[in-house]
Amino acid sequence: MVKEYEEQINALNLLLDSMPKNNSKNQTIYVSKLEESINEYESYKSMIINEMNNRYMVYNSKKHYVTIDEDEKELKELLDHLILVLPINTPFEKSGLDKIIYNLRHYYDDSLINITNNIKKAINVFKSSNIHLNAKDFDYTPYCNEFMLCFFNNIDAEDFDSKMKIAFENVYWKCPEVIKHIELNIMFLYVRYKRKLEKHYSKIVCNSLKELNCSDSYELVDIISNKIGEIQTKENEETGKLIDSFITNVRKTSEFKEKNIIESYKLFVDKDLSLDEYKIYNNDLERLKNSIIENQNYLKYQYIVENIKKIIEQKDQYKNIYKTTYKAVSKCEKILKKINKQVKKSVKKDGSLIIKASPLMNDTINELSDLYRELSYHRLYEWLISNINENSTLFDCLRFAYSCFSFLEKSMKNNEDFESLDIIKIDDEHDELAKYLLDPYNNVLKNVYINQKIDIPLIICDHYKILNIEIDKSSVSDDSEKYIKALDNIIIYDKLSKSNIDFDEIDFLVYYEKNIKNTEKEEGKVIA
Amino acid sequence: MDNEKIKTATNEELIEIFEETEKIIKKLNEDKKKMEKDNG
Repeated sequence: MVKEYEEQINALNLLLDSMPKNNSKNQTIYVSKLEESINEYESYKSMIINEMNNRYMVYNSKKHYVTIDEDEKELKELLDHLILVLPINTPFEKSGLDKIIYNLRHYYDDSLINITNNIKKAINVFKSSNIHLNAKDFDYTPYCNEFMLCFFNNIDAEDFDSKMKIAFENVYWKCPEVIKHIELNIMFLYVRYKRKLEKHYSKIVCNSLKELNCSDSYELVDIISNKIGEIQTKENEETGKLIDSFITNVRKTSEFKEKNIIESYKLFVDKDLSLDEYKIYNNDLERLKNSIIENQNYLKYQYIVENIKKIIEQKDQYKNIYKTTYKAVSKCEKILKKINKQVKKSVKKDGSLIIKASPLMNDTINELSDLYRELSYHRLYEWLISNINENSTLFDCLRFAYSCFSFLEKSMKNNEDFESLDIIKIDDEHDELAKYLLDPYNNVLKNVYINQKIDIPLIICDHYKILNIEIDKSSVSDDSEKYIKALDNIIIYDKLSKSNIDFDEIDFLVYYEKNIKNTEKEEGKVIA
Repeated sequence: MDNEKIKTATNEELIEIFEETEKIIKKLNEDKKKMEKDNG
């Protein structure tokens, strides 16, 4: 058909070439023939675009999208419950005070509005446990008190932010580390009211478990894994986003020619088979992909497991360490009280201070800052050495890191792969860790002990060799990206083969979106 | 060329005849423009 059309066009070209154009009369006839032909081919073009529009409508309607917004929302709620019920977590993690303190500790990266918002959040944490804080509670230092006096006096004021800006300016030049003083004051209040907060959160945990109808955090982990599995199944049924990935050039249909897919199969199956015959391996190949990804994730989070192992190896060093550090905190706070007395002598009638924070105060505050940081780590280390042992699995270790934001942050800080850290990076790592931890397709994580000398890539290879899938260790570890891509292509090919759209139709959609939709839209010739 | 042939064309053929049509329309318009320019 195309050949016939090309011949028709060639004939027209020959005719036009042979027409005389030597005088004005001939030229008029020639132009008239050109116009007639333009009209003729424009009408063909209209018919062709009309047909293209029809086909586009049919193929485009084959795209199947699933809505997972509700499931994602449900998953997010379940994860929030998980943070509440994980046994290692104290009210410090359950209430989100760990993140608030992290933000205040890194105040130099933040705006004053965010800083005051974090202080408000901290005050609300206490408020939810019926602990109503006021300016008197923020007397860790007179500078902290001066700032917080203004904070409470204006907490409901419309011009709160501008009032706090002035207060900050006033205090900052006398005491540049006033935010650190507030952070330490919150830590001090947390320690003071810990029992009351624990009581409140133990009720919340009971209600949370009751609401979810599960007995403990392990059961909740299973519920969350099932939810993730449900979301993955729904996503697997979807073709819309997959087809869109061809339209946006993320994938190319040329990679999905039969011979290319056969080549992909041959990386794993050492037999010359037809495409249909290879399909019996599809389920196992899909599982192999999950195993390779699990190994990749295991390597990604090995730094956390190594960090935990190191602490356990040095367990004698950490025995009763929390008590010792707590004593050091109390001792240091007594010194601070004495320094505060001296500073308070310079308080004016309006409550503002005259003198600058002394070097002794700054040194004491820095020491307290280090001590409080150590105190939070030491609580975790003590929990680790009494709860993680040779019978603990990789899952237990990573669950611990997921529970404790501050431990994850410290582990990341010690890992050279993270050049610089901020709350977004730590939150992302925390979310990624949750996905890995709760992935229903994990096999290794819950079955490998922390001290077990185990070659995970070898175990994966041996397992799949039994299923007649040939794969070596390097394909699971060093060259894994290449093999994941090949497995992905096999899985996508299979998925689209089972759907109601074929690659020829996808090619058409890609062409239409690129060449027709945008260029013809302005002329009103396309329907989409 | 008629509508029936367009309707029964494969996707690949439809794209090819679309491109050929675009090409010839462009050429015819250019020839017409050139002729009009030559004749002032």
